Amino acid sequence: MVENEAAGEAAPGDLAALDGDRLRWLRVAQALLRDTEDALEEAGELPEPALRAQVGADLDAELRLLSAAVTRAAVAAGLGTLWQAPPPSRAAANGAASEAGTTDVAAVPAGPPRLQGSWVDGGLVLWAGGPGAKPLSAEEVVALAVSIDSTLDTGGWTRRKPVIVPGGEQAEAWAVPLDRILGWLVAVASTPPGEVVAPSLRWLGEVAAWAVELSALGRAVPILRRSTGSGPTARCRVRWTPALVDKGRLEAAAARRPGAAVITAPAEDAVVTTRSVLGSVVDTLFRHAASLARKIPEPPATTTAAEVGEAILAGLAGERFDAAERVAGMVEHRLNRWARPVTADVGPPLLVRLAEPDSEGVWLLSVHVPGAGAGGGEVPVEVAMGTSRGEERRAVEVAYGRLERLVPLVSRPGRARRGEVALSDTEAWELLSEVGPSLEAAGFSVQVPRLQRRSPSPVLRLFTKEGGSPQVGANQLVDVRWSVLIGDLELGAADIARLAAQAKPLVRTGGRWVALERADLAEAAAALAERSKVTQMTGGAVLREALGLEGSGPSGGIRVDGEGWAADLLREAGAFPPPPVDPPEAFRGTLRSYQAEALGWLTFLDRAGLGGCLALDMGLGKTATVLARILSTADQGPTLAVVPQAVLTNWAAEANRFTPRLRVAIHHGAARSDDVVRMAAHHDLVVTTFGTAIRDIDSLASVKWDRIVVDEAQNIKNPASETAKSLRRLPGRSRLALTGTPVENGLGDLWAILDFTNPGLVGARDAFVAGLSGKTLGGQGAEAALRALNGLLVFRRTKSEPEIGAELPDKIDELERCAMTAEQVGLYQAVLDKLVADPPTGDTKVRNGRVLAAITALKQICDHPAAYTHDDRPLAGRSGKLSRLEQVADAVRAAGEKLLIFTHFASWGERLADHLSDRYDEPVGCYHGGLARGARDKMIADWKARQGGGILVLSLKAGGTGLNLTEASHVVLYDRWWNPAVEDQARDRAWRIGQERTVVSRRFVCPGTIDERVEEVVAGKRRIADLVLPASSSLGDLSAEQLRVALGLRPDQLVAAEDGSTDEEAAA
Amino acid sequence: MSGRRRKKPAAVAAADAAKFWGSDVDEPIAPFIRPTADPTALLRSLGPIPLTVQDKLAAAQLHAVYEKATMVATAVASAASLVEVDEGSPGS
Repeated sequence: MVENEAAGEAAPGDLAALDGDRLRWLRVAQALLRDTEDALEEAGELPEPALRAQVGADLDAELRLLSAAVTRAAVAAGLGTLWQAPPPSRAAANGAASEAGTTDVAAVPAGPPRLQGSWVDGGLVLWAGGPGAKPLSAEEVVALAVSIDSTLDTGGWTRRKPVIVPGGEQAEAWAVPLDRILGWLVAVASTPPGEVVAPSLRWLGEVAAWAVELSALGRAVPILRRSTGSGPTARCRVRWTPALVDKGRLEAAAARRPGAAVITAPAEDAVVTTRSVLGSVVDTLFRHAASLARKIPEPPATTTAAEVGEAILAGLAGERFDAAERVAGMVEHRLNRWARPVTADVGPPLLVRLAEPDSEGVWLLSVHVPGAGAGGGEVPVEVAMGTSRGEERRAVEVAYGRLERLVPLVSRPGRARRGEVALSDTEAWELLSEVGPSLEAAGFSVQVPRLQRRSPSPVLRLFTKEGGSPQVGANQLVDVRWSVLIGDLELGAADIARLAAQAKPLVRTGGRWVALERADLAEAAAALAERSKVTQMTGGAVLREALGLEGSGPSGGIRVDGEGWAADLLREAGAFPPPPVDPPEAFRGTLRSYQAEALGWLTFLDRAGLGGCLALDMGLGKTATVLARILSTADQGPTLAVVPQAVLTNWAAEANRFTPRLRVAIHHGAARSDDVVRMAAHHDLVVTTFGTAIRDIDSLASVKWDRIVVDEAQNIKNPASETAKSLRRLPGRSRLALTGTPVENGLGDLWAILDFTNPGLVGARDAFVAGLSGKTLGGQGAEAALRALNGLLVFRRTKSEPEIGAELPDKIDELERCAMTAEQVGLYQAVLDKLVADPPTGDTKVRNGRVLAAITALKQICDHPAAYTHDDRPLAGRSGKLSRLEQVADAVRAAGEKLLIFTHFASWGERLADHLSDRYDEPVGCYHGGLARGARDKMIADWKARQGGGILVLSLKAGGTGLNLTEASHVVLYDRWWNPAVEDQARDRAWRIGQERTVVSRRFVCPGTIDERVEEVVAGKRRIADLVLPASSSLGDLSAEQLRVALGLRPDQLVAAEDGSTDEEAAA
Repeated sequence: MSGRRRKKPAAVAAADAAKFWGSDVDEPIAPFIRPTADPTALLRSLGPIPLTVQDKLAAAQLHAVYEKATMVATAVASAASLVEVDEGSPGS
């Protein structure tokens, strides 16, 4: 009635009743006011600001009403102004209602029904509901649970009677066996809050996760549970009980328990609920584990303690058994007493501390009791035992007894006091690495120095100091000092010897202790002994040491620090790849990022006064990169590039394309200059062939070249060859070797190239090969050796590197200009002369036919003389295209990749395939329309199945469509035809869906011949040899002179081979 | 007023409702479970289990169960992304 009156809702009868007992009215109003004030004060402690604000607002409003009601009751009782109601703004002093905004915020935000978990009679019940939400049906509950994890097994779920939610509604519910849902329940705790999982379920998940943690630490003990009846037999089973449950954590978890988690027993103590959940999860886990272990037989009877013991061991998975009541009770009591040290409420765990060794290398282990000292600090365990009494002392002794069982050396005789013992290095290491973690699992607190489990490999350190030597560069003499580095710890020979003598050598590095391998120490000692007497070295020798080319070293390698040419060089080369450098402004084109890095490396080489090997994979643009560098340094003097004849015109073409400002001279052929010095003085770049270089070596060697570049440097892999010996005579400030295959036949090839680029720097061949051979072990091959030198003397990048592959286009189309041989030129001219001497006559069809036949003949000659003459002589060395093809095929095979070669001429294709088979001593097929279907299919299958590299020749018509040959990443279009679509189809055998690598497609043309006319037509130009043909014209309409112009050779573009050896023969 | 159950103030009812339904925590629990490499450490620290059977038999059977239990628990924890990566020595 009083509340109604305060709210202004009292009925007349109520008012009359209140008026009839005004003092009582006043007392009740005052009591209500006090209750409201208390509630308002409590509301100020609510954790959620929004809830705090809205509760505060409601209570404040109520306070105002009640204050007014008290005043009215007091006036009615005749007390009038003697009564002072508390000011209605008291809420502001509490700080709760001060946060109130409006009063129209709901008390608990309503939302959709969420999946709830309740702990009922020691088991999990799932239902779905929420504040202001209608509970879901049983099927919807299952759907919600499965939406969290679609693999959830709902078999074994049973419907139970509905639970009653606030407001009185019933929520359909499931009883879920814990062993069917434990993983799901634990996972719920680690998922972010969302719209499905309610706080009650999450809370259960968190407690379940805690139980899993205890289980993962082995913190559980088997206890006997028995249900007693009236008879002499008890029904027993093993119950796994959590051990070392932290009291503070337990209480904190209990405090967070939502009421919905105990919906059927809201009054249950939260700590009891939490312990129940913990215990059930631990029991479930351990029983499941016991069911996986080998089961021992049950005893035939359970009337004695021994038999009950056996029954317990046989029933660790929770199987029930009957036992004599008295005996079971006795065993139960013994087990409880045995487990009590870890199941009773215990204080903070004992602290086991290992101090870092003192000056004499002694490690001190000490045991302490936290919280037992004044002000809650720790005291040594002996002191705690001496000063504490009763249960407290007993607890410490029991805990110490557990510690002694795990670490018996704690009780070693001769110690100064109980709980303190000196350890050897071996014992300290055991504590650091193994015993410490065991103690933590057993519930002790452990403080030990930080440990590094993996021993770092010793590194030999070479410290260099400039000693005032007048020499520079590789000849600079520096003072050196040797030591061994283990992590950040530097050791001399005496330190190494001392450690090697210890049973368990422990060192502190990087703030952590680590046990060294004695084999590593022995290796380091040997490496140090080998070098310790050396006190001065040249820069070149320092470099060789750093590269591992001089003697044996420890597994961690050699590090050079200090000052001097070599140390500076190695520091700069240490970061690979080097910083990219932009090409000069006059460079026409864009370098890819790895090319810019290569340019940076070339710049570094020039600065360091070194030569090097640019080992970019074929197709990655070595020539353009080098041209950019030549352009940058053109003012320093001329560059001589020695290249295979097959790529001579390519060099000229690329220089014209990328660096048109370079003055380029081709020194090759009968018309080449006699005055090489003068020629070099008027050009920035002179390009010559290996053959020409050998023939003109005396004159070339008389020029002061700024730079010597050798392309396809594998041609000098034999240092005894005439080519290699001749090229070494060429003087130059810098020497650069270009090759995609620097280790074609082994590390000796690489030595030859590097010794050419930096004479004497890399030492003797045998030592070089031996030093790098160690790096090729483990199946990594020569690439590993190249990587060891990468950034310094070698710049190696391959298409297989993901960052390179990502930058490359899906396909690269390149035009390869292949010079004809003299034999080809002669044949070509002869055919053309015959056509011109006897021009075609007759109707258009006849005339066209003869011209086309002549064109076909000329194209065959461009391919190879034998393609036209069908002679039986060996093919090698008679065709520029074939020579270039062999170089490409060599490189592709060396890279372990596959190559497709397309030709229009099937008979030539067969001849070519035979030649390549002989060359590589492996079957190379020719796929053409003349083969039976089965033979064609087998050829393709065999080629696809071949491991590593492989070559396949295909006729354009038969192989141009329908085949999927994505195993190939290289395509050569050996001869051209008028229709580019046909060639695109050929290339697309490799470049198509399913291809994961960049496809490099090369079109071979002989410059100055019909090949180039085809190129022009394909490129969309209708102008052929300066003739403008009306659209309706055909070749058959051309006069003899027009034919000569259209099809004839262009001498200015012809690059004929010289008589004499091929590039390969010169290199042999 | 005796015998009549006093109607709870709306705000108190709201607080009760909040306590019943609980509140969402902002963050899910982070990985914190560090499995042990010595599952039977706690068991060994208690000494022989008093079962009046051969010590070796009891020890062998219990050790087998503890090892399997820690494996199962670690698997459950891993599946829930609750296993903490070991960074070094204990107490460091």
